[in-house]
Amino acid sequence: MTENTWRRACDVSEVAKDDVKRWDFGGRSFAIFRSQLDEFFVTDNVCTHEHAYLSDGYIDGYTVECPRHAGMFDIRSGKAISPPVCVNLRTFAVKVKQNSVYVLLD
Amino acid sequence: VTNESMVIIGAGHAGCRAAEALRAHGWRGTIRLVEAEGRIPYQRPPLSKAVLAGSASISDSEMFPEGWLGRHEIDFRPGSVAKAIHRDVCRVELVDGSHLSYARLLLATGARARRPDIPGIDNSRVRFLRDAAGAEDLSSQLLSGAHLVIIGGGLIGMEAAASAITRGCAVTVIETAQRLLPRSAPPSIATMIGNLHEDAGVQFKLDSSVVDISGEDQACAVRLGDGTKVLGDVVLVCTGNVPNTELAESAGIAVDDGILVDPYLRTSDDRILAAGDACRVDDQVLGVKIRSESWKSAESQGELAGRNMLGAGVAYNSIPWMWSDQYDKVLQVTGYPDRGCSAVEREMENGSRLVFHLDESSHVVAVSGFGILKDVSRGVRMGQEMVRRRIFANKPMLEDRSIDLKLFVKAESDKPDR
Repeated sequence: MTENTWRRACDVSEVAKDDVKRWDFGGRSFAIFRSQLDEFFVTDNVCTHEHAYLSDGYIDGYTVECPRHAGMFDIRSGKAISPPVCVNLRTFAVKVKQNSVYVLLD
Repeated sequence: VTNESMVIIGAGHAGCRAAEALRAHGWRGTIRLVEAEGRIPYQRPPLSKAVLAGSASISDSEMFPEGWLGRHEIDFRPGSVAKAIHRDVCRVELVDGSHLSYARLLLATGARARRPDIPGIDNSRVRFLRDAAGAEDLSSQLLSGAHLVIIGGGLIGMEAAASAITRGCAVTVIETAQRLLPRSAPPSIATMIGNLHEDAGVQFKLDSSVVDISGEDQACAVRLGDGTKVLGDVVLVCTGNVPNTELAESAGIAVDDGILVDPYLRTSDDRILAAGDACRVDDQVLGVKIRSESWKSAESQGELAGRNMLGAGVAYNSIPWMWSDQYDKVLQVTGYPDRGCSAVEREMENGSRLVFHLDESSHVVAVSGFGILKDVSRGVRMGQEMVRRRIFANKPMLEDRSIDLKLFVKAESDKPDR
């Protein structure tokens, strides 16, 4: 991927409230989260512990629990908050424009 | 001040998490971590999985980031074994003769592999799988074409079977029960897991007792009750664990299949706590004492023990949860399956299955799932909420795969008559 580019990822309606959607682009997988308050957050989709997609995980407020070993991350900051995960997730800037979700890629 | 030390016996998962929690919650005094194996603390789950499969080594799964123990000024004592607890003077005596004073002591002594009473169990080809040295030794024997005989078709035996198959070994599993995984999975899931193993080439001898093990030239022979001899290059015995309670018992601390602890993880001496595989804790959901051997229990009990050593006074209330990897599928179980007296099953489109275990009053007491990670983890995660919230089982809804379990749990939790 080249320098910072906004990429359209999906329609707003494709991500339910309090849920997450997987978006694959440029050989990477991203997790697009939508909170109950309609905020969007984007992180890397692959857990930093062992391979699993966080988009398959369990969302509770601002946390996502990895489906494999139940490690937890804060979806806003990517911070690892519960073992076995100890390495933070990368986060990406996100914006909503005309019912589309855009992600800032680097 | 001689007593201002926190002492932790055992540097397995529970002990290490307790050390971490002590520092995280503000303890600036001495922390002594007594380690018996003479190794850098490591995670145990990979031993039967990636380490045996040869795809990872122990050093890939160390408990702490490099330098963590030093940076946090933990007095780490590798290769040290505790010999006695002198409760009258609040001291632990180590085998090397040194004495450690404690303000609070945590017994995280873990468990060891059970040695069944079988003639020939001392045969030089017999192995157990419990610690890093054992896993490394076994891994070095799993050469392509070698024949591994596994006594015990429980979780560890089955994980070892899957790992050995990927190394190109021939594998035979011997189980005394009429089915696999008698303690860990319901019958329908045990059948699915057994089929997966058979497809991969694992041979099973169910309903088979072992009479003896004997050496025969290049191989060793495991003789079964019906007279059959199973020949193998290595025999791995996976017949459960025994909690390491001797240290506690000889100090006069209450023990009964585990060091007995109250919900705050205190033993019968309130300066001494216990956590992890070694302890049996008052369960807040069931009101009975439970000894759990899972990663999750060691994790949450260890962390809680650290906080309670500092006087947090928080009760243990985690719902049990465990996982196992079997080839590319996963098993996850939450709750208390042995409390169930009936079951409701949900089959999913891609072949994954959820089993809801119900008690006499038709409340969900456990959920087991097997198959694709996504379906299993979501179902079992919602199962955890069902157990926690004592959800009444609406059988048609639990069976119907078109019903979203998250919405089901929410709707049931919101009912006013609960």
